[in-house]
Amino acid sequence: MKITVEHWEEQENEVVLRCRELDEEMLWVLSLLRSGLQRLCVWDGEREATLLSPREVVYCESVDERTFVYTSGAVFQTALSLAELEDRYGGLGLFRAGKSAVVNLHHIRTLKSRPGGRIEAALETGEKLMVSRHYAPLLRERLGL
Amino acid sequence: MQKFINFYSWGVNMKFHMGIYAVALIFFNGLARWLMGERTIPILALVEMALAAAVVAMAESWIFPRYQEWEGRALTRRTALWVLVCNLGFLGGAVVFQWFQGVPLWGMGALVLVMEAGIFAMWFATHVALKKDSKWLNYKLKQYQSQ
Repeated sequence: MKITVEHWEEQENEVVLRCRELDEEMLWVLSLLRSGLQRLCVWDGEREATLLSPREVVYCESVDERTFVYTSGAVFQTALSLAELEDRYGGLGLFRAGKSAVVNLHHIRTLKSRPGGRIEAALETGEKLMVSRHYAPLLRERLGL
Repeated sequence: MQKFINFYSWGVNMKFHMGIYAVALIFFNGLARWLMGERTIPILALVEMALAAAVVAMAESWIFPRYQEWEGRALTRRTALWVLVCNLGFLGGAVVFQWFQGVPLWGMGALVLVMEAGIFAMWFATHVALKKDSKWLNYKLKQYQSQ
């Protein structure tokens, strides 16, 4: 990717992306730029990019080094890793629930204490997600327990 | 695929309980044998205890399905059935396979008492302590979500 920085006299900074098509590299650049605006750049199966409010995210999972973002009605992909998602949007409720999952605490319907120190989270979508023994104490701490 | 995942997660949960039961059986069998001067447990006895633990854990997963909550009379009935299954499984196994052969009567009584206490502890952990913890977790979750 060719990077050019031009200096100009205008008050507002401007970033122009030129590409033949919106490939993964460009989507990644976009997501980096947009994350500053508290919007998550994601794309769907048709490679259509969308700016998602982190509040819409129900949970994210990492499969084969790809990060999938699940909302209440759709599945997207993002260029950000789970660690980056938690770092950037942790304040908005995103919490690392396991090695391969990040969950939005605002979209959890109920929590259930499980044997072995694990916690089972029932999500608003009806899905169930297990918070591993390693991350369960962090969740308790996050909830103020 | 979903069926396989459900079966797999049922297996993981069931084997967790089976492990607890098997370890307890093997521990007390080893202790009894050690007190009687023996220093080994036959492999066949280990297999028998693991199998008895598996049968009880499987029955338990049927009595208390994973995603269902029981309260009041239903919980009492299922708890009574579960205690019966545990006693039949462990005491029945001990009698049929003679795991504690040679242990004096008072020792048998002590083992039965320990087993009943263990069953109570298991029930308390699963149906009282974990439920209280879940209630507390949900209370704090709602607080967090309303912030």
